[in-house]
Amino acid sequence: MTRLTKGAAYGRVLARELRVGPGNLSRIAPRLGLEIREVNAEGFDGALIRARELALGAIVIRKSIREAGRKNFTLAHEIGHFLLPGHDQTELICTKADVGNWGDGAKEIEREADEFAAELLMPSALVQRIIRSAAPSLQLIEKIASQFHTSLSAAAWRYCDLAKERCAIVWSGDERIDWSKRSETFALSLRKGTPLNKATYAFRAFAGQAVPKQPQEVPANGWISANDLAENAKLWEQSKALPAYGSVISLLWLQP
Amino acid sequence: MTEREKPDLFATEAARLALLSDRILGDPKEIDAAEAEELLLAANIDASELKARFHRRFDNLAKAYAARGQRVPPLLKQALADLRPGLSHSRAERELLRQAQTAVRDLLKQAKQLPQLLTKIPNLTLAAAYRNKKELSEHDKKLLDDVARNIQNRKMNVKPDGRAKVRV
Repeated sequence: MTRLTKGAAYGRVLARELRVGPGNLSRIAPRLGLEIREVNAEGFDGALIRARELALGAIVIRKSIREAGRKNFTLAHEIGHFLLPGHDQTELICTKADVGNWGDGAKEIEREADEFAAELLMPSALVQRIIRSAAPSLQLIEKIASQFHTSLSAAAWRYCDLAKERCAIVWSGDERIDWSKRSETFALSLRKGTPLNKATYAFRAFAGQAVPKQPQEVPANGWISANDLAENAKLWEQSKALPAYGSVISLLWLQP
Repeated sequence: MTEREKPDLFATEAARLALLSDRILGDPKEIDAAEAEELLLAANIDASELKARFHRRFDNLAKAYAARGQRVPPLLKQALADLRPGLSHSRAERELLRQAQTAVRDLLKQAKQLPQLLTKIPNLTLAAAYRNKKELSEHDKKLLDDVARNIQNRKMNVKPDGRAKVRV
């Protein structure tokens, strides 16, 4: 069972107290004393300007964020900064790297705001039902992103945060692992910065080659050290190129 | 009618409840403790309170068995063990949720009373650390300054009685 984090606890309580459906952020912000402004920012994706004395402030979002889901997630992330204890005295200008950066090197307050946003936009009870409805696939993750109006990376992270299957999501850039998220039962290591093996579909996706649209069994040592793997274990992979980000997203699934 | 011949009303009722629960929430195997807790919270039922009430009730039942000199049935013993309050991880989570609830409610209350509170505060101090950020362009700093000014204006546009000033 996934441990309830501070960010997730505040996200869950806020949704419950306001009794609004997930993703309805334009209704949530004013009830917290927050205004939302979209601006032509150059160097940040989201920012929070707040008064020290009382619940009053403004969330500033970069107008040119292309994806609506990403914009929504950034907004939820900034609401998290507004609400979470310990975030009030800190720098609250968030660059692209601060929001939805699921890597191990993310700053603690940014990770907490991300966890808050994930729970607010994708309540675990509702997401778990979708997860249980079908076998792991990128299509299922895209369904979560679309249904909960959030970014693909956030939905992918959330999927592995809650999935019971032995699966992991790998986000790669420049043919190297950028970040990964493993489900609780996927105990194998996927190190940040590791170059992608040529035998993986992720590598082929980077090369612009066609890759299967459903998870396929692949040689496990393309991703994982053979020493770590049980003898009869099979690894399935589904990868997809994301040209707009210069990235590739991969879903790994260990069976049995 | 002897005790043995009486229809087992408890079993019938339990089966009916189990069927209803399965139809509404799905098979118990498909739901974990965290999700169950969230569903209860969504229905405004505090899971820890519910657990404590069940524990008290089963404890009284077990004591009644003991008072009659009868053995406590194994399932009742198991239920008592499962529901026993203790310093579990979930207790820490419940405490976290309680803290979050207090903080969120305080903030929502404050936001509701914002116009009145604005009249009581002489000056607003706004977070302005962005002005020292070297990586932010002058253009971005100006944008944020505008937003900050706008927040200050919200205070200036409130009358002493908390109502908004009418702009002509």
